[in-house]
Amino acid sequence: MAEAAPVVLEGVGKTYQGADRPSLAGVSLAIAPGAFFSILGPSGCGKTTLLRIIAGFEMPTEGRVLIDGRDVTGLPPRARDIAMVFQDYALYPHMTAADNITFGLRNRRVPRREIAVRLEATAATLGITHLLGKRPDRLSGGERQRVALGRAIVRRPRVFLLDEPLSNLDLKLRETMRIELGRLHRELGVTMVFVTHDQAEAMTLSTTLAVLDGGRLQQAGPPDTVYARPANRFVARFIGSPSMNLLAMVAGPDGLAAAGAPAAAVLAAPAGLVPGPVEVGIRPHHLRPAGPGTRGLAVRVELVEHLGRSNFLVCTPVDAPGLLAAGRALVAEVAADVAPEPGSALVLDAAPRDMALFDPASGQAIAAVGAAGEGA
Amino acid sequence: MLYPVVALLALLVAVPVIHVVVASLYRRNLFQVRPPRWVGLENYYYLVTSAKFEVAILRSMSFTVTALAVELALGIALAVWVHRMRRLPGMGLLRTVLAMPILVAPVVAAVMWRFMFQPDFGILNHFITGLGLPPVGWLSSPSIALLAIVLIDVWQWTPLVFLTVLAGLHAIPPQYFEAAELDAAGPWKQTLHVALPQVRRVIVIVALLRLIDLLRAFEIIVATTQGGPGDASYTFPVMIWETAFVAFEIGDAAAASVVLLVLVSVIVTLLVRAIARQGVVGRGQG
Ligand SMILES: Nc1ncnc2c1ncn2[C@@H]1O[C@H](COP(=O)(O)OP(=O)(O)OP(=O)(O)O)[C@@H](O)[C@H]1O
Ligand SMILES: [Mg+2]
Repeated sequence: MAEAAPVVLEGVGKTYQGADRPSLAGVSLAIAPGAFFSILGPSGCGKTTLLRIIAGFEMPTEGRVLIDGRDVTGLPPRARDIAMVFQDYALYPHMTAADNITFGLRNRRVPRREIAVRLEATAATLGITHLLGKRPDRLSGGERQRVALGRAIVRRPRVFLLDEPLSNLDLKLRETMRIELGRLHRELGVTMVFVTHDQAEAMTLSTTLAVLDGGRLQQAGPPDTVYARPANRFVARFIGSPSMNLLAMVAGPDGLAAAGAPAAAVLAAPAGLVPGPVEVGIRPHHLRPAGPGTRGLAVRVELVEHLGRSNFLVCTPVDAPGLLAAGRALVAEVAADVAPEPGSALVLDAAPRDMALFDPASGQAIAAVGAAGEGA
Repeated sequence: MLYPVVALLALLVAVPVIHVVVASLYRRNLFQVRPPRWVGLENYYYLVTSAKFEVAILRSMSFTVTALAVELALGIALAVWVHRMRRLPGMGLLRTVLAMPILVAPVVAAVMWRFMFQPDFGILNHFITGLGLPPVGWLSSPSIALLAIVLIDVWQWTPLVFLTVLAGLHAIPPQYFEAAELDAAGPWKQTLHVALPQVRRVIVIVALLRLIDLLRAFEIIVATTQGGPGDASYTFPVMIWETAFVAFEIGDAAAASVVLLVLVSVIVTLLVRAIARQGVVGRGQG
């Protein structure tokens, strides 16, 4: 049970030559054995850089990389027990699928009989036995993807690295391959590190989700924790669609009032919240229209977006100019039969247990009420 | 809109060819005031039955094959080496320096090399005698002259092969090399299994270009040996040049030109077909 973490990063930083700021800074994390570890973040946040540092294609300018407890920071990729699936597959065009898959084994002088056995098993796992004699240019995108996976699987490495492996596939195929990846991960029980742009992919596949921004690790934890208890304002806004509403409020004895408004409290505050300014995060589906005469956020409905199963109400607060950051609207997700006229007034309410709380100055989560924020 | 352009291009190509074909059917010597006389295929008959025809074909073949082989081997090897060393500083400068011979006009190159080949005070023999070896008659020895000319062509045109192949190598996405690195392929295997297969087309195209050019090459030969000593460097284009501008037999020269044109076309067409069948040219790659 006390198996060492296959991948550990200790204070990893990377400043590319000639760059004026680091692409990665102070990233420390441990990837558990058998984890499906997803790295999510906006474009340019350093996801690929992080993966390439684990692979050994880039040297970190700070910190250490450990694979299976062994410091591999200075070792070349081939000396690390890893395999990588590239975004555009990088299959050797002049080799058949079988040769593509076995090239690494042949270079490592694995006995021929064993190569044949492993090739057969890998091809069976991926359902590509009938494709083995074909060259990549005769394969479809999904088939190439499978061959690329095969090339990684056949080596039985300690860790699989995947850099947006599904982004070149069309929507339908993405879904199929997503399920396939999940199945492979369960069947092989291997550790996978997976870079993606796609939240749905990350949420459904991962056992651990890491969010990166500006080269810094924002949060790492189980996907539902990251979703429900974002560690900071960035994660709160980044994860989930539409984004979490962030409200500038003041906690008082009788509840939460909009910041900058003299009015009385409009929302019930979570128990134990220290009085003073606080940023309150509420997911759109946690905002409910309140009955007439009850207290809540008074808003005017600007726009109703019908999504079939539910409606998005895009609203502006009434008499609370400081509540939202400039240019932002309040979004509520309500049942499909709730469709107020644009321009009409509405009162929205939310339960204290559905609120994520942030320190307005630092943007970090405030560990209050029941669930503790999952730190990085 | 397209057809007039195509027609114009066709005309531009066809007119000189037709002109030469017509000229090849007449006997006409620029030194004689007699008007051109219709002789039909007589010029062709004289050409193919003459002894110099066979010599010219043989010389052209050995010149072309030797130069092409050396230029390809050297150019590809240099490109692979420079590409492998691409991360080192100064490689850009090296590439520029290696590319410079292309910029020299062939006649200038030939004259330059003639100085270096000079038996008594040429720089090559200076080194060779410095090593205690007898001086070499670079352009005067029948067994060496053609190789000396090959050397000039190699000096001038290996850079073209080098640059083209290098550009092809640089265009290979780095992931292929990274994948090969993970597959534990050493430098030699990366060259053999990743780099070269991906520049196969580039190599084929530059080889074709060089082949056509070598079959027609004559400036450097005319500017050095003019086909000599004896007939040691008497290639097909030199024969045409000599017939037209030394003997002024325009009809004979035209016939030889037509034969050369046909030969080059046939060789190139056959090669392109053979290559297309191998799937190197024309089809998209995966
Ligand atoms: N080879 C490099 N040299 C210099 N800067 C680089 C290099 N590679 C990446 N960067 C910079 O480092 C930062 C992080 O890049 P990286 O490719 O890791 O981002 P990413 O999160 O993978 O983005 P994307 O989602 O668009 O793929 C970017 O600002 C990028 O410009
Ligand atoms: Mg990336």
